[in-house]
Amino acid sequence: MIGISILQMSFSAAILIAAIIIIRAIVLHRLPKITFLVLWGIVLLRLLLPFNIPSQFSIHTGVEYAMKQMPQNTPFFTEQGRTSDMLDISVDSPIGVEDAGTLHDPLFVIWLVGIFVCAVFFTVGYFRCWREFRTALPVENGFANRWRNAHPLKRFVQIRQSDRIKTPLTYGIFHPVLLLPKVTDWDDEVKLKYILVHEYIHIKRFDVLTKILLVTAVCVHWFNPLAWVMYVFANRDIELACDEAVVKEFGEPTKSAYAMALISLEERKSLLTPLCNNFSKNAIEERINAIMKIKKFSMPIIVVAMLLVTGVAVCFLTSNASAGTNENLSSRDITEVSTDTLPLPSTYVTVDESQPASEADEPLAPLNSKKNVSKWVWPVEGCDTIASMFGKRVHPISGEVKFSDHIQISGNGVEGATVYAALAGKVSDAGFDAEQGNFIVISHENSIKTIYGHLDTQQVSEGDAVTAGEKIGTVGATGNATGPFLAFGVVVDGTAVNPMAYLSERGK
Amino acid sequence: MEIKLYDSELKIMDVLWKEGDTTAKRISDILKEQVGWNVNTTYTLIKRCIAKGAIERSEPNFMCHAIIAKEQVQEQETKELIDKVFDGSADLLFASLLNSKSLTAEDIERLKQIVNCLK
Repeated sequence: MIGISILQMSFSAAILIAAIIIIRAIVLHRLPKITFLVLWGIVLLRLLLPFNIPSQFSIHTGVEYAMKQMPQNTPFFTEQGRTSDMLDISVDSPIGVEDAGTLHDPLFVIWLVGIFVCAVFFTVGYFRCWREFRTALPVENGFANRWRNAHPLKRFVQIRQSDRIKTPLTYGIFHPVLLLPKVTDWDDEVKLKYILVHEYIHIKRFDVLTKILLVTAVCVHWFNPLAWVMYVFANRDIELACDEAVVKEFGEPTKSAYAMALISLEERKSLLTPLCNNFSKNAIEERINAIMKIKKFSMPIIVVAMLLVTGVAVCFLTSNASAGTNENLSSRDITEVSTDTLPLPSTYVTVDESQPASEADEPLAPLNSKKNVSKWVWPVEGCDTIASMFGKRVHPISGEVKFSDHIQISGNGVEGATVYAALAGKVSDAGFDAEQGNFIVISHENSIKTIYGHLDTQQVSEGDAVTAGEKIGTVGATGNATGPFLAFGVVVDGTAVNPMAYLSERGK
Repeated sequence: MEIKLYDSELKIMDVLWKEGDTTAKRISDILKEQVGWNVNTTYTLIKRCIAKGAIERSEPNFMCHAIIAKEQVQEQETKELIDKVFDGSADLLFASLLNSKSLTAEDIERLKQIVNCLK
């Protein structure tokens, strides 16, 4: 199972949103507006679906590459505090909790409360409008019926009229209703046609559904300011794309008449739409501008738009290629460990004594010398989920990419599971620390140390000799931890190295 | 007493004016047929009318009685129209009606009679 953090999703989506806003500012009037809708669709996928498709073109591959250039001799557990801030979300429960223990984390609770508040805000607003809209009276006149017959849809579109709204609107997904203000002039058929076709395109494109998805994304990522920026711009782009379709339907010469019709509607703006009023002045200017600049798109422009969309999709919808493979590899290996051999020791290649001490910029060097074989044991009984990997990680608060010097092992029944010494050695430290809780440090041969954090109980003390696979304690959530898991680190010559790299060597 | 009723609320009043005192259930049945409102929508609107003092409720069976008459509403709406659109002058409204194409020759003749009577 690959653990994906909601914050990582939010962070990578934020980069994408920023990129789209820049692209939008430069080429808004030059590309078909539908391009931006597709781009926002990619953002929505990124924000709402936790998934990984490895690709070497991914933006995350670049980030990882940059990380590798940095020295990795971070002291062990110095970054421990951030583990408590992580909101790890597993693939099969996108908005769920990995285990109930995470509920103890105040940040996680704040996140849930935020979602709740946003959801209530939007739902109440929508429900109020909906209750009002429902009281609208049906329109039965020749023009409306003729128009409806000329524009058939699978869903029956009701046309209604209300004296409570000032601008036309559409609501409902399965039973769409086209709502017109009472002041509608049924004799001005040209203007009416523009209005009806505009709303008809909204219905045809299921824009109401898109808006609901946008609201959902904003609720889940309420802490991310760029998600709100996306909400505003994506809503605008839905209108722009709709305007473009209307002009296309009536032919380019009608665009100024259509723009005038919009302006006259804008003069009596609805008071019932609670959101985005601050942006509306700006937005209507942008809309009129966009309409007046509509022209037929040439083939090259369409190709450029498609390349742009494909490029963005490949860069942002995929994840780091190497990390993806590592994750796949390690999770497979771990499964083998748990089903076949646990708690039996597994063989593994360790450091050669004759090798010089590793240099700061080459911390993994000892692993490359596979001469000395000693026995290692998977440190947790029956649990093999890697809740957090060794390596780069997005800081949940600052959004910085930082370096994690250990792994977190979790899984079903992890609370109270037995912790084994991974290698034979001598306990060099055992105690309590506010960050790591109850911890044990075992010194092994070849300047290797293994570290076990957040333990519930410690069954060895300083100076004890331990064998590989000896029970040393149980998994807990002591110290600054989001829930029960084992923080497991390996240090070679004072340099933290990736424990998974050792475990992946197993069986070779 | 001024009561501002929205179109949807006037629709409820219309039923009461036409049918006399009616149960809420019957109103909702009639309006379901006529405008497609569901029961909740109609009851919400009836309750709003009650709150505004346009309808009086009596038991049993949620019997509804119109407190304000149709003429009262018509007068009020006309007054509002004259105040808002015709600068408070009934003359201008009249002129507008006479100019408008929506009046038939008969209508105009009748209006002229009314004017003559008032003289």
